[in-house]
Formats: sequence, structure tokens, C-alpha cells
Amino acid sequence: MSTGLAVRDFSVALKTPAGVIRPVDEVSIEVRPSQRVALVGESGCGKSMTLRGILRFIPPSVLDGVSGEASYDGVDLAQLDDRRLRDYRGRRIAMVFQDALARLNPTMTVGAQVEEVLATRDRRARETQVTALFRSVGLDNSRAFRRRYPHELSGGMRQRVLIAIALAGDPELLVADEPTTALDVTVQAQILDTITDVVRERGMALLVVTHDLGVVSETCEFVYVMYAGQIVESGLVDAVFDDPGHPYTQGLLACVLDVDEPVEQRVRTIPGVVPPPGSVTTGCRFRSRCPAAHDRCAADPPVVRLDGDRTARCWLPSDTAGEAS
Amino acid sequence: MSLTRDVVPGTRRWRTGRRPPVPGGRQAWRRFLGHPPAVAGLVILIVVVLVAVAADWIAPYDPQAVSQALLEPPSGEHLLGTDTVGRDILSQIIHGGRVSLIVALVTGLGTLVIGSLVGAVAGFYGGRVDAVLMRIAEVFQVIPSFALALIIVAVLGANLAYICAALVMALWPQMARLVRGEVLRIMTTDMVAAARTVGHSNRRIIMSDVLPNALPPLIVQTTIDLGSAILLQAGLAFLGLGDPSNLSWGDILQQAQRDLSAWWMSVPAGVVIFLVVLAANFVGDGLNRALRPTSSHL
Repeated sequence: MSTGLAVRDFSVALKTPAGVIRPVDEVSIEVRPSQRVALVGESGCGKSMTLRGILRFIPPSVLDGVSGEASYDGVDLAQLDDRRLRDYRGRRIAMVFQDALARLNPTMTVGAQVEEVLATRDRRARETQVTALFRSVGLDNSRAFRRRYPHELSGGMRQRVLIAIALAGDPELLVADEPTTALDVTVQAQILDTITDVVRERGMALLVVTHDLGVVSETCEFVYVMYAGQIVESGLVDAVFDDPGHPYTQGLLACVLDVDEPVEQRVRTIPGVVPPPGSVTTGCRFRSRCPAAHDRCAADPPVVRLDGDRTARCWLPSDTAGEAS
Repeated sequence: MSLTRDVVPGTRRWRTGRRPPVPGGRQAWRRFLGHPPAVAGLVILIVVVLVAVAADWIAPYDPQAVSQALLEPPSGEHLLGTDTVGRDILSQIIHGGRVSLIVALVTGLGTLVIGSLVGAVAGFYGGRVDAVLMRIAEVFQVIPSFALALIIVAVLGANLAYICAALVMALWPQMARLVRGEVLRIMTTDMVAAARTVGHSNRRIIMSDVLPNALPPLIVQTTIDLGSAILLQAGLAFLGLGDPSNLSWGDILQQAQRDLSAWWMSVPAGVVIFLVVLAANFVGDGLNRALRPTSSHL
């Protein structure tokens, strides 16, 4: 029985000209089989770096080291050699990115690029599989379409091709890194539908990394909110969105556009920017931007278990609930 | 359902079996045709190749057959005159094209294979492998290519195979540097990162991502190398380091040294070499223009 992806106290340290920084600091994430999970946060808070660290895509020239545990089905990914790691990438954990054009090979037809990932050597079987994959991601599955090159397709179609490539290895977990960011809103919705549909049909698990709360509520059951390299809140999407426990989550939700409000009040922001990694070493990392900051925030806030699976890293809810750790 | 909304019914873009080897091949071909020098160069090369292939039927005489007509100027009987031992110059030029083209092809291919292999390995693995291979390439590069070829042929002997080997030695470092640069560029693209996420092996990434995308500059460099090979070989032959059993254009020039007043010995061969090398460079330049623009990838 598969146990899915389990990440515990996972940190990533990078070498920079200014010294070693830790963009990912003791992050714990769990994606159980056929669970749909979101990792959400502003730009620069370490979401993508978490993914890359887990799946070991950080080039050794910049990686200082990782600590903690990132395991899939109980196998620690950090311990695998290159050959065994390749079996995990694509076959068990597949990825979809934003900016599909840059991810596709301009010299190969889209059909051939999907075919490349398939395991079987039989040409006929591969062709039927590619046809089926194209159909399942909502692409024209005619022979002529499969023989097109990436530059001949629209952005939405390219993203679908990328999804087809990810599905070709028949993975158990689909990791989507900002899958709809480069697309316009109507196409975004369609791509999200496609992703959720295929994930449901195949009983796959899904980990979406995004800054778009709309994407989270549309596709996922469970959400982790990340800020400055730490998970600040986690819980079921409905519960977190209904009653956010952490001021940062509250701020994020307040920023969502509400068309019913008068124009001048529609766009809200959280003042300030995410502090660069390493600039805040003690205390709550959000306190410089937090409307509810007070004296205690200078000390590391506890991770509070609110109810069931919900946790928040903040002093405020800790007054009303028991501490988790 | 929303799935099929942004799908455009596929139209047949290429006839089956005639897909271009590079993306936007059709546009590239059209751009090539829009560049007159390139087209002229291509026509010249095609004519020279056809003549060389059909040399046995076209040449009026056996190029090695001596006759009583010594050092005769061009006439109706010998269109480009005869040399000091009465051989027909036109026939020599026609047959000499074979030797020059074979040398060019073998050298071009050898340079392409060795240069790409060394360059790809250096660029892909980087680090110490890269440093060692590039230092070796530099050792070859600091010696002028003609001098290098001259030494190798002088030591090994003026056999056609050795001549080709010498020319490859002289030309491969540049190709290796070019390929290494392309590989380094491609390795940092998101495309390669994406290929890793689906678990492709290094071999597969080199074969299907790196090499095809590095192809356009390689094609261009190869056409330029073809011209260089013809010129270098002619130069070697001019200095007497030609294969005596296979007369090339350069060998004709070498014989012409003995009597420069017999212009019909030196001028035609010189003009042919000049035209072919120029044509190869024009074609290279045309391919460069046709394959470079990234607009074909949009």
C-alpha cells in the first residue's frame, strides 16, 4: 500500500555570493495517495524551491545541502542514486510547469515527445496510448495534430501537451508548479478542469504549487500556506478559507478580487514584501507586515493545532488552543 | 465539457514522409531561396558534383593519357590545352573534381563527427572532462591549420586517406568549440530540466534534446569546413603533397608552376577552386541566414 509523499522538517540550503541561505526552512508536507494538495504563497517564499529540493532538481553547484526527510512510499529520495531516482521521476512522480513553450523540444513533433516517455517498445501500442492521452487531456488526437511542432500550437494546447507528457509515465503523483500562470483566465479554468479530471479519473495524487487562491479552491482538498520558507498554516481548504487562523492567510484571502465591491476597494494588498531568506532569523517572519503584531512575535511562534488536521504557526490562535509541538 | 474548447482541428501540414528535419524547415528553405548568392552557390556545387560523378562520360580524354601534343594552348581538339606531357587539362579538371570533392566530403564528415562528439562530451559533462578536452583542442588550434596539415602529410605520406586525416586534425577543434557552446546553452534550458522530470536518461537527453537543437549551427559550420577542406587540400597539392595516383585541382596548379606562361594550365584550375570554395561559403552563409532566425520557432 502506497503511503505517498511525506516531507518532514525539510530544509534546503543554497550557496550564494552573499553566503549560505535557507529558502526552505523545516517544511513538513504530506500528500497521501489520491489526495489533492496545494502549496500556496507569494512569489519568493520558497514554494518552487521546496519542490525542487524534494525532487532533487537543484544543481549541485548552488546546493549547499538539504536536511530533514523527503520520502516517497517510505523511500528517502535523498538516498537514491541517479538511476533509481530516474525511475521515480516521470513513472511515479511527474511534473507540469508553467511556460510550456520553453519546456517543449522545438525540434520534435508533440506526438513524438509524448511517445518518448512511454515505456513500451511496440510502435502500435505507443501510438494508441498517445492517442488516448491526447484525448484525455482534451487535445485533437488526429495523426496530423500529433505531427505538429510546439511553435504551431496555442499556449493552452502546449500546456495540455505538457500534461499529456506528464501522464505518459502513468505516475501516482502529479506535481504542478504554477500550471496556469502564463495562461489567460478562460484557458486557465479549462486547464484546471483538465488537471482535476485526469487526476480524479486515474486516482492520482496532486500537488499544486501556486500563488492563486482561486486555483487552490477549485482543485484541492488540503492546503499548505507558505511564507518566507516556512509553512505558516495548513488544513482542509474549506476550513482554512472559511476561517483562516494565521494573519498571513487572512491577508492573502483579503487580497482576492471581489467584483461586488466598489472599484477603488477591489484591489487590496498586504503592505511590504516577503523578507529575503536569512534576513529574519528569530521570531515570526511575518511580523514586519502583520497587522496584529505584538511583543511576543519577536520570539518563535509555536505551531498550534487548531482542530483536526489544521495547524497555524502563530501566537494568536495559541491563546485559545493547545500547542501542537 | 470544457475539455475540447481550445482545440483546433488538425490540418495536414506536411505530406507524409516529407517532413523537414529542422523546425520550420519550409520557411527556412524559402529564406534560403530568397538569398541570391546562396542559390548561386548551391547551383555551382550541384553542377560540380554532377560533373564529378559523371566524369568518366563527360571527360573527352583519359586524364592520365599522355599524347604527342605537348603544352598546347586551348584549341578545338583540347578545349583547355594540354600539359607538359600532353595530357588534356579539361579532362584533368573534370576528374580532379572527384578527388577534391571526396576529400571535402570525407573531411567534412570526419570533422562533424569528431568535433560534435568531443564538443558534446565536453559541454555535457563539464568540469575536468571539459577542461582536458578543450585544452587538447587548443593545442591543435594554436598551430595554424595549414602548417599542421602540412606536417602531418609530410610525416605520414601523401596518401588520400592521410590527407583527409590531416585536414580533420586541422579543422575539428573549431567544430568542437562550437558544439560545446551550443550544448552548454541548451543544457541550461527549461526544456532539458523538463526532460529530467520525466526521467529521461543522459543519453536520451543528448540524442533528442541537445543534438537536434544544436543542429543549425553545425550544418553551417560543416558547409564552411567543406570549402576549407578543398582549399587546404589544393594548397597541400600545390606544394607537391598531393596523392600522385589521384590528381586533384591542386596537383594541376603544382604542374603549372613549371611554366607559368602556359596560362591555360594554371588559370582554369585556379578559377574552379575559387568558384567552389566561394560557392561553399555562400551556401554556408545562406544556411546561416535561413536557420538562425528564431522566428521559425515561434
